[in-house]
Amino acid sequence: MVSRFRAIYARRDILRLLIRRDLKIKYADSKLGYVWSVLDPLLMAGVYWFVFTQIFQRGGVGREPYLLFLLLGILPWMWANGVIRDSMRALTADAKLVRSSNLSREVWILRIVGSKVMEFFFSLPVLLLFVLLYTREPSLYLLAFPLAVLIQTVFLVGVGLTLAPLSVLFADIKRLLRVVMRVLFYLSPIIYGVRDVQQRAPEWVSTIYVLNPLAGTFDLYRAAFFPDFFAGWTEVVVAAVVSLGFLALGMVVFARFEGRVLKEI
Amino acid sequence: MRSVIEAQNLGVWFHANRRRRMKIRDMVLRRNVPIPKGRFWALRNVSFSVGQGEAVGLVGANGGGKSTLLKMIAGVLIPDEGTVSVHGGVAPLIEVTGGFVGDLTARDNISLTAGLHGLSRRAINEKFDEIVDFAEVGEFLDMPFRHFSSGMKVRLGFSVVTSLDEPVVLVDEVLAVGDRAFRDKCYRRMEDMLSGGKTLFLVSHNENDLRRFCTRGLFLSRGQLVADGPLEDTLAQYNEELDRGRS
Repeated sequence: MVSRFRAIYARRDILRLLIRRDLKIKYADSKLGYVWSVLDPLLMAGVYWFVFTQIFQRGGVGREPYLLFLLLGILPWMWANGVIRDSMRALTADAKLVRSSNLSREVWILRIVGSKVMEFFFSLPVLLLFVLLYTREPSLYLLAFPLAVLIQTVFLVGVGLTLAPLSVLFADIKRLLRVVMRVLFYLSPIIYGVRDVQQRAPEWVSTIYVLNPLAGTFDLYRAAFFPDFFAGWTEVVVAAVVSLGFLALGMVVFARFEGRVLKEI
Repeated sequence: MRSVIEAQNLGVWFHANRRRRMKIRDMVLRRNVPIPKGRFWALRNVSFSVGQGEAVGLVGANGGGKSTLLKMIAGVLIPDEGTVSVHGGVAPLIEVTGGFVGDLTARDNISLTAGLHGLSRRAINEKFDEIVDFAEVGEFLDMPFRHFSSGMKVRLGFSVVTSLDEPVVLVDEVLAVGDRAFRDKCYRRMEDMLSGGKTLFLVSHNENDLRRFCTRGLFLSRGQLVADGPLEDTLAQYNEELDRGRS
């Protein structure tokens, strides 16, 4: 395992090159590239804001300003969603590249996580815009923002390493994942907060709920601007532990199926 | 002589049945587990070792496992049985245009492919002009790769891979392409590499090419290594088998 880490680190040049290429295709090749990439989360936030402030009464779920509250969940969700969606094509979309070089093939998943995290960073100015608009002051939790990014990265690398080889070998993973992602959206604290679950649902539900690593991480992002709504560090620790578990699972699955995947692509 | 390539009891199998992928249902219900059934060995019980500076020609009929063997030496296919170890890096002239992306310019493709084969950014910058000169694509550097003619594509691929400066060079039939002028250039470069002490592994159906470069021959037939010796002996045995098959 250690030797694999070292092999990947030795080829960080090519990882950087691949990520830069992805971003170039995304942003440079169309002049509206940046607008497109932030339009999606903005539109989503706008729709949920409309539905849950103008039509439904939320009855105290979430916090005001609700639009900012939503964005703090939707932006990292877009990152997670993008990685999980793309990692199913990680080894097949560029099959010729994968087939023609013998670099550590984990790179093809790291590349997706990397370019999506860059897109996440690029979308943060939108958040800043709304922070300024609502004249919201950040709390000290803002310092923990990188920690949340790190935990989410570990989680997504693990999930990506698991899904990429399995979706080559099993035909229906993609269809299954489409359903799972839709469910996961509502089971992650995006349109509501972790505290809402803890206050409203039975205790055993909220215990299971925080096993989703996105719960602890999204809650930590949010704490930067909604400190009084932060559920606590226990949830963050749970998220970190579960994420490391996913990373271990991903590394085992990837190493186990790598040989068979190479025959299939 | 130090051995550079060491293959021990190498084997790899592929699925013979037509349904390529499993369904999750099959795995959960454990029915029709397809691994042990319907597989055929593309290569099995292959052992040999190649010393530094040797030039080995690989012959055999189509489907004999030549390309599969090359891919495993290149590390782009993982054996199911046995091991193959290569001391030092490999410059694989296999599907040389495989690493290129149609939408990118030739310039970007050179950095991408050279990087994928392990060249650092600094080395790429140093060798860039040499690669472009050899491939004779200087005026098309900023053209998308998909607009290249097939000859130009192969020239660029050959140029990138041969500039890798790895101790082992694997060649799979690429010499058959390109016009004569470029072919001569390729021959010269390969001779340069050989005289520079590199180890060469050549797959070809062309006996002239084999005689020109190789001193030792391996003969693969239906996944088995049936001959390993001086090139002329191996070629004789190969031709004999071919004639036998015809009569």
